[in-house]
Amino acid sequence: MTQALTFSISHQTTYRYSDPVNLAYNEAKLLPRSFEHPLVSQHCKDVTLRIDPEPQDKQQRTDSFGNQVTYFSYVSSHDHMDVRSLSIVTRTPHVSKEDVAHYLRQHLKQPWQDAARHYPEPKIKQFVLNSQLVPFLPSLQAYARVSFEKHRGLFDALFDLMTRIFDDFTFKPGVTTVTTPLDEVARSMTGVCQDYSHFMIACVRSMGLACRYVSGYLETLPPPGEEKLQGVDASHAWVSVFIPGFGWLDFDPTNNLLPLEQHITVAWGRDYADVAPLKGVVYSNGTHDLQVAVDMARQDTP
Amino acid sequence: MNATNNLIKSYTPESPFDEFLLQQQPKPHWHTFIEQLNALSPDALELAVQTVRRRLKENGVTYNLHDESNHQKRAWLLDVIPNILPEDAWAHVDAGMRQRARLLRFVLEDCYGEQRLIKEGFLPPEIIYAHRGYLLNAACVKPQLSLYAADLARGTDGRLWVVSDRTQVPSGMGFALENRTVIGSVFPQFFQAEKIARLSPFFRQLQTHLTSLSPRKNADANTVLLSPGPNSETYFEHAYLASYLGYTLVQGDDLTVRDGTVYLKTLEGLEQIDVIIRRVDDDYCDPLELRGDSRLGTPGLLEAVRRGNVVIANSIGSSLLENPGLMPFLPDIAQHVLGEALLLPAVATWWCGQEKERAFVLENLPTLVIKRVDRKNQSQTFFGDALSRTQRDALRAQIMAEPHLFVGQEVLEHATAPILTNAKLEPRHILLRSFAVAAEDDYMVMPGGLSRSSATQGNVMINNRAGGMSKDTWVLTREMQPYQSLWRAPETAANALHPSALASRSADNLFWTGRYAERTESVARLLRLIFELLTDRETGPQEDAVLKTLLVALSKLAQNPDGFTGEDAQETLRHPVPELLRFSTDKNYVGGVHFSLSNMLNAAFSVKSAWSNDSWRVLIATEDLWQAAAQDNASISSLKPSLNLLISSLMAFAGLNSESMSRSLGWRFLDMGRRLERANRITELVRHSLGATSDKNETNLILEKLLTVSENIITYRRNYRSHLDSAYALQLILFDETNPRALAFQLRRLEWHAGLLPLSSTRHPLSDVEKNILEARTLLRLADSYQLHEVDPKTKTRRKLLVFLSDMTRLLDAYAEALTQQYFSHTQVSHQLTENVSPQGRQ
Repeated sequence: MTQALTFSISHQTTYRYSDPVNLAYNEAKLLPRSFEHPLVSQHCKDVTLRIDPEPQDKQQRTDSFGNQVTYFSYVSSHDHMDVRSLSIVTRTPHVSKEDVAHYLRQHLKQPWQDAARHYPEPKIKQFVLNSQLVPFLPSLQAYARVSFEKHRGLFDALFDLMTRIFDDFTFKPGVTTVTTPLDEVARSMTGVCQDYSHFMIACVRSMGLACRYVSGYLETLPPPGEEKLQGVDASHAWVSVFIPGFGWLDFDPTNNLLPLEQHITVAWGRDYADVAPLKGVVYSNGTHDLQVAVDMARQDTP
Repeated sequence: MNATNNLIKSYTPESPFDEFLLQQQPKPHWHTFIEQLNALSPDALELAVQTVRRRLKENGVTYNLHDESNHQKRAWLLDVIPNILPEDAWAHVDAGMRQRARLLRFVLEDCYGEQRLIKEGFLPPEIIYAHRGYLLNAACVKPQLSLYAADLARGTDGRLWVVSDRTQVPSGMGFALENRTVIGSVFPQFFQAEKIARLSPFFRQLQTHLTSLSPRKNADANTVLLSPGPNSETYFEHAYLASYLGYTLVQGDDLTVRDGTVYLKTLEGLEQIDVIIRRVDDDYCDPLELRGDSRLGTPGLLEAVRRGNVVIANSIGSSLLENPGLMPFLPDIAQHVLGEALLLPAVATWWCGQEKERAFVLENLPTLVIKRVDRKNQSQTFFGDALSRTQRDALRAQIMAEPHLFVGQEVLEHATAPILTNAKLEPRHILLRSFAVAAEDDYMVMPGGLSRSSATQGNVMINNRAGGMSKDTWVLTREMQPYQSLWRAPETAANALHPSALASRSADNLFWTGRYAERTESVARLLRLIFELLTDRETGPQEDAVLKTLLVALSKLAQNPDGFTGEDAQETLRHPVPELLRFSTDKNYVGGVHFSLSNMLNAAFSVKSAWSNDSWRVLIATEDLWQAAAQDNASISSLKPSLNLLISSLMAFAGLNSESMSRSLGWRFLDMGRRLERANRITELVRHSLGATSDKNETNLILEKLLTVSENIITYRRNYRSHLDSAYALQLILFDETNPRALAFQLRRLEWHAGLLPLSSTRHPLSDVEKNILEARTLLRLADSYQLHEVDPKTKTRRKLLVFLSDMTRLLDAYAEALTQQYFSHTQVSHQLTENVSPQGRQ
C-alpha cells in the first residue's frame, strides 16, 4: 500500500550582523529538484527563494550535478539577511515502506564485485573517487570490508553497512561542525547526519562503488498525542549509491532506513561541499548570529 | 694567453652530449661567442661577472623563499655564459611547442566541455576527475590557454624532452626578459657580433592577445596582473611584467565584483576591468566558490567570468593540465585530434591507474621518479633511488591505495652545459623553460626562454628552491627582426590624456612608505644622539637625567611601551646598551630602527612603479646598508657610522621624491604620510621634553637635544643666537610656518593636500579629512606660545601645553583615520559565512 505525500516546505536562514555589512556575496543551493525514480518520484511546484533585503544582484543557474544554484550579492549596507526557500513537494512512492527491502533484495541480488567493475558512464565514475571532504581512509576500507564479503549481494552488503554504521555511531549534535575532518569522525564515531553520510560514502567508495551525498529534509513526527511544533524539522543528509542496471538508490544511515515518502531531496553532489545550502563572504568588522528554521507541513495531495 | 683558451681547456663535459663542446672543440654555433669572449682579459671577464651580479641586485631581482616562520629573499643568479641554440634546431622546438600548446588547449576545452576524450576512451576519467585542478564550477565557460610553458631537458641523445607542462600561471618569462636585459647591457658587443632573436615580439603578441580577449571588444581594454602579493615567490616578476606590459599590478582585494562585473578600486572610484592575467593559483581565486579560506582572491570572480564580463588568462581550472598522468595518453590524442605525431618527445611516464603500468612502476620503484598527478608542492616528488627501504614501502602502500593519483617517470640522462663559476667552466645539467602565447588559432613561441642550471655538479634537481644559476637563452637567427616598441599608440586623443587611476592599494602603500620613512628617520636621529651621549659624555647627574629623558622619549617615539618605559624600565635605564642594540638591529622590535625600515621598504617595494630608477637604487642600497649593519655582533661604535649613512640615505630618498616625482595623486599620498608622521613626531618630542620642568641647566640641555633631534638647532642659532629659551624653541618648533621642521608647516601641507584629493568637496559639507585638518590648524593658530609655555605651579608641568598637544594628537589621528576610511577601503575584513549548524535530522 503506497501513498503519495505532499508537503509545504519552508527553510528559513537568518543572519543578523552586529555591524552593518556593506558588501556581501552569497550562494544558495536551497531549491528542491524534481525527478522520476523506480522507488519514489519527487515533484516540486511553487518553488521560490525569498531574500530580504532585496539583493542588488541575483542570478540563477544549474550546476554540473543539475542542482539549482542562486548567486546573489549586496553592495549596500544591511544589518540582516533572511533567505527563505518555499516549495510544495510531492513524494510518490512506488513501493511501500514494508515491502521496499524485500523488493530490493529480490531485484538486486548480483554480487557486489560485479557492480564495482561496471561503471560505463564517466559521470558516474566521479562519485567513486575521493572528494574534498571524503578522503580515502584505510581504516574505513577495513570497516567496510566486514559487510562486503565475497559474492555477497550488493543490496545486502549495503544494507548491512548502513545498519552497522547506525549501530556503531552515537548521534550527538554539537560535537562536530561542517569542517570536522572525516578521520576525526571516524575515531569518535559521533556526530550528526552529515558525519554518518560522509562516513558511509567513504566506506562505499573504498569498495569501488559510486556514492553521492544527498541534502534535503526529513519529516519529523511528534510523539503520539502531541501537536507538532513549528520549526522543529531540520535539514537532513543521506547517501545514494549507484547500482548498474537500476540507478541511484538512497540510504539513510542516520535512521537506518531507505528514504521514501518522508524524505525530500534538495541537491546532490560528491560531498557536503558541493551542496552547502547557503554560503557567503561578507565584509564587516563585526560578528554574526545565525538562525535556521525548517518547517514541513503535510498537505492534501492534489 | 687569453682567458678563454684556459677556460675551454679546463672544461670537461660530464655527459656524452654537451651543449658546448664536441670532441673537445666548441660547436660551430658557439664560435662567434667564443671569439667575443676571447677579446676579454681575465680581469675584464671577472669585472663583467661582478657587474651582472650588481645590476641584478640593483634591479631588485629576487626569488622569495618561504619557510614556516619567515621568508627570505634570495638573490637571482645569472651566468654570463648563455644557453645558445642554433636556428635550425630551434625551428623544431618552435614547431613542437606550438603543437603541444594546441593539443593541450584542445584537451582543456574538451575536459570542461563535451568530455569526448573520456567518452571515447582516450582518457581514463580518473585522470581528470580525481585531479585537484578539475574545478566543476569552472565548467560553464570556454577555457583560455593563453600562456603555455614546458620544461625541456636535453637528453644524452641530444634531443630536447618535455619534462613537465605549465599551464596555470607559468612563471619565468619575466626572469627570462630580465636576464636578456642584463646580459645585453653588460655585453653589448655580443649582440652586435651575432644575430640573436629578440624577445620583444613575444611580449607584443601577449599584449595583442590579451586585448583580443576583452569582452567589450575595446582596443583600450583594461588589463590587470593579479598577484598574490609581495610574499609570493616570484613577486619580482609580477611587478616587472606588469610594468613592462603596461598593466596595473593588483591583489585580490584591489578588485571588487558588482553586478557580475569586475572593477578595480581606485581613488577616483571603480574602474571596469576586462582582462585579468593571473598569477594566483586556481583554487585561491574566488573565496565564495573555491577555497573559502583564501585571502588572495575576489569573491564573485567566477560569477563574473560565467557572465562573460571578464576574461581570465589562463582560465581558472587550467591547472588540470599540469598533470603528468596525461602524458602517456597525449601521443594517441595527438593522432586522433591533430592527425599528427608529437614533435617533442616527453619523458616516459607510466600512469599507475592502469594495471600493467602500475605493476611496472612498483617493480621498478628504485629507478624511477614518482610524482602525484596534481602538483601541490615539490615534496610530492620522490626519487626512487634516494628512498630508504621503509620510505619505499610507505610509498608503495600509498600507490596501492590510490593508484590513479600517481605516475612513475623515467629518470632522464641529462646532457651538460658549461657554467662559469669561480673563474672556471663547470658542467651542469640545465632545464629550459620554453613559453608560448596564443596567437589566433596557433601559438607564438618565445625564441629563447628561461634556462636554469642545477646547483651542483651531477645534480638533476633543478628548481629555484634548490639554488643554481639561470642563463640567458639565445636563439641564433639569420634574419634579424626590427626593433618593436611595446608602447602602444593611444587609440583616441581622449585616452592619451586620461592618466590611469591610482589603485587604492598603491595609495595606501605610498602613504605608509611616507609614514615609515619619517618614523625611521626620527628614531634614527634620536638614537644617534643617544649614542653620542653614551660615548662622549662627561658623566654627571644632569647628563644622566638627560640621557634618561631621551631613552624614555625613544620608547615613546617608537610607540613601544617595553624598553625604557615598561615595567622593567629601571633595569634597562641603568644599562641601556643591550636594549638599544636590540632596538637598532632586531627586525621584530616594534618601532625600532630595523622594524620601521623594513616596513618602509615593504610598502615601497609594493609600489615599484612609483619610483624612479634612482629612487629604486637608493631603496635597495638602504636595505643592504642596514642588513649589513644589523648583525648580531653589532656594537654602538659599529652602528654609529651606519646610522649616519642611514639618515643620509633616507634624506636622499626624500630628496628624490621631491625632485623626481610628478605631483600626481601618488606623490600626494606619500607626502601626506610623511607630513602626518612628522607632525606626530614633533608633537611627541615636545611633549616629552617640555611637558614637565626641571632645573635650568637640565632644561637647557634637554632643549638643545630637542632642537638637535628635530633638526632645528641650526635654524635656532641663526634666529636667536646663543640665547637658549624654551619659549623661543616652542615658537620655532610649533608655530613657524616657513620652517619645514615645524608643526605649522606640516599642518599647512596636510590641509593643502586634503583640498585637492578626489572626492573632497569644494563646497559644504567638508570631507572628514578636511574637517579634521581645519580644526587642527585653527587650534594651532589660536594658541599662544607664551600661554602654552606657562608652568602650572602645583604640578610643575606645562598643563596648557600638554592639553594642546593631546588635542593635536587626537586631530592628527582622526585625519589619518578619515583618510583610511575614505580612500583605502581594505579596512574591512572578509568573513566566511558558513552554516555552522550542520544538518541534523533524525526521526
